[in-house]
Amino acid sequence: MRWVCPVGGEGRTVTTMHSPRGLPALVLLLVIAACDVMSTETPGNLVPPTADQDPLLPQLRVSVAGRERALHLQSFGDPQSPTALVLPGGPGGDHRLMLPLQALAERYHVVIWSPRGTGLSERVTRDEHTLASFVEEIAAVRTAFAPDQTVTLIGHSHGAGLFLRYAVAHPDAVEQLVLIEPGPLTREGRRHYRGGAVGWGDGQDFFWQNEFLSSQDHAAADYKAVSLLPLSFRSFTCSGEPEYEYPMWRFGAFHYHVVAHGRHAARGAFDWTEGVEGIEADLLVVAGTCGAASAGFQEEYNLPALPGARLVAVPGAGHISLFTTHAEETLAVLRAHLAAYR
Amino acid sequence: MIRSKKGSHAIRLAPFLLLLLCSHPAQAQSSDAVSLAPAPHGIFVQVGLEPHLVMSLGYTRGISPEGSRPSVGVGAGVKFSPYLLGQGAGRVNLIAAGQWMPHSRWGATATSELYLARGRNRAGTVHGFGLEVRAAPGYYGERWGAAADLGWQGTLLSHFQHSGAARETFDERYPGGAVGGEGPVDGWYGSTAHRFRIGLVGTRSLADGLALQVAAGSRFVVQRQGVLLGFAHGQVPVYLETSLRIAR
Repeated sequence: MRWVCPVGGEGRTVTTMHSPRGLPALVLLLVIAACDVMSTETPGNLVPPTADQDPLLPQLRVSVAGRERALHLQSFGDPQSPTALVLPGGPGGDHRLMLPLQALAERYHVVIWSPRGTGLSERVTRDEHTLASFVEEIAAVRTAFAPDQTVTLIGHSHGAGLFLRYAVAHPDAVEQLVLIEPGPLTREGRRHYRGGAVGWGDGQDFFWQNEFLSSQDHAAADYKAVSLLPLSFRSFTCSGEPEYEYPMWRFGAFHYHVVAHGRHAARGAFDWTEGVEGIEADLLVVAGTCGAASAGFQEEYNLPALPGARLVAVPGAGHISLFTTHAEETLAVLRAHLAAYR
Repeated sequence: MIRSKKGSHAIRLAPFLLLLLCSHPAQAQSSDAVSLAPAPHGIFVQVGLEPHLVMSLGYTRGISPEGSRPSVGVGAGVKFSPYLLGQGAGRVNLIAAGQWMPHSRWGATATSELYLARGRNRAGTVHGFGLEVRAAPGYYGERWGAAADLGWQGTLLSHFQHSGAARETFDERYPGGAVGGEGPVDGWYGSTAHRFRIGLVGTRSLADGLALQVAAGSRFVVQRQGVLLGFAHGQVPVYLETSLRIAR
């Protein structure tokens, strides 16, 4: 097809142009190709399947918030030993980072899991993300493994906060409580906390991905964390550089959104330490000396709100490296404190 | 239609001026609110926030016969984020645009863009082929214009090549010797991105052949699983764009 395209005014020149004949064919090719391709929603294409999608995963089904859900859960050691429950950080993180704590299986029956909506645990609805439901979830796991015993709780970051609330709600169920670099537990702490922040430069690629991958389902949203999380951990390192040594399976993006920023986020006057004076269990706070949640932050903002708590620092460790490069030092601190080692 | 001060010469070129401003690249580009350029050929430069910083460059040329309605033009352009140039991220667009003015000073411009977008990060490398359409019904005056900014973008076909870091997320899932599914899967994926746009665009003539456009509004994704994510997951609901069009 030829078009006449006038260019000038007086004494104009006529220029012929050919329309792009290949364009319709290219569009048709794209449409045809789009009909026989993979989907981001198919379990395992972008991110590992969750426990409800993959029966081979070690798991526990619990009834929480009126629904039965599958938790990705692993246990180590003798079931006859005292039980230690372990929760990871987040919100949204899975428990792969916590696996070095399986070494405590020498004295404990160690139970480690990813909360509902995180890691490889089943994804749940928005209304199932209440703080009360996660306390209920902890109770369900305890019932499954130690219904008639007190338990030792070891929580990291956000997981530490969840265990704190469980201990407030069930003080008779807890023998010892270990909080490993808990996030800000008070309103004042939240004002000064800078952990996990993503800088302007680091966020550029995260948003550029919307050109070819929009967060339209759980898998696509969770997949984006593979590239973003190490950058968000700059604030937790000694050097300020990204933390690429971060073992993970799958991040719970929707869980993070709802719990950290959405309807069920802790905000305003909410205080994780409310009622903590009713806790009778021995309380230990473990922290590294680097990063936003280090021993300095704990001493200034969290310890004053935790009466009777002791603080032990792991020199040179950050929020993530407490379980990677400094895992042995962290385990040494725990062994020195936990009752089963005395 | 255009009210040119250059006499009959400019009036005859009016449809092609509209074609020029109809032809704009990439999703971040504002629609062509006002046909102000005095010539059918031109380039455009755009800077925007989505919320990441993006820039676009492009060229368009009218192809419709003189005086035809609607008028049509074609062009090409590139879009990129300055922070990500080193990663080889960017987007190339083939542009087709048109304008329809059923009434004096009221009408609509529309563009469609076939694009190839590329991204590369710790998770892997992705190439996406897609289509973006955009329409701007509104007022098109001599010195200024204002229109709605409506659009849809869909990446219909993407190729994923996952990195070692992404593959490591599938390791150590089955303690005790169990063997499960492997992943992630390299290859072609369909319908990996969809976004809608709704906003406003305004244009102001700065000089002959030079126009400034500003667009702002909201962009959102329709989730398949009823998951509505916000800022924390790359779905900032607002955009802001500034374009400079130079016609010759």
